[in-house]
Amino acid sequence: MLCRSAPYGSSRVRDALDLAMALGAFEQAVSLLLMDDAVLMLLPDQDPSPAVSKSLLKVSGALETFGVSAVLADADALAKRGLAATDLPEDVTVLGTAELAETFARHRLVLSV
Amino acid sequence: MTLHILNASPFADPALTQCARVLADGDALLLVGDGTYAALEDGAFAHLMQGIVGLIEVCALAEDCQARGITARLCAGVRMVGYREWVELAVRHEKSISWFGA
Repeated sequence: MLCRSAPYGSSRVRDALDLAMALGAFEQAVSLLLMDDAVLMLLPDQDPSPAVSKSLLKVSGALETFGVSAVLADADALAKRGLAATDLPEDVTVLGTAELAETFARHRLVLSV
Repeated sequence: MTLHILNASPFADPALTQCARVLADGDALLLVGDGTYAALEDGAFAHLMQGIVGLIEVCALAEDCQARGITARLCAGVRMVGYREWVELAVRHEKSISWFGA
């Protein structure tokens, strides 16, 4: 699954997380790839008002439990936003451009959300 | 062998730039909706688009180009297609990736 939208500005990231977990729960091999503003969902210290949303970082922490194989993030998007690998959850894999291309080639289906 | 479908204007969203990073031999790029503006021959993305045209097959949905009045302003090598050819492109490639405005 490919997500490129910022976390709280629309429901797209939340929808992507829900769908990834649903697919994982049904034992589909699924990875979540974050590009552009979607990498901002990996920032620590997210504290949205409960009325607005759950912390999407906390939701993303449950992905592995639901069988999502990998969370992948574009190194270029992280660098442009001043995020370092040390800012990210440990289980996130950072990909350069060549690895991005290889990732798209390796997956049978790509769903943009 | 991927069909990349771009429907975001490159002037509003980095979808084209991101898509261009992962294009591979045998892929095709189909411009639809505001994505057709990516092929404007005198536009800021013409250079990038010419590079892509030299690498893979690039098509634009004729109906969307006509609607925007840009049919005669597109980069050389961009092929006009209809919905039937869109289906053929989808069948001919292993998978499709949609690039829309984030």
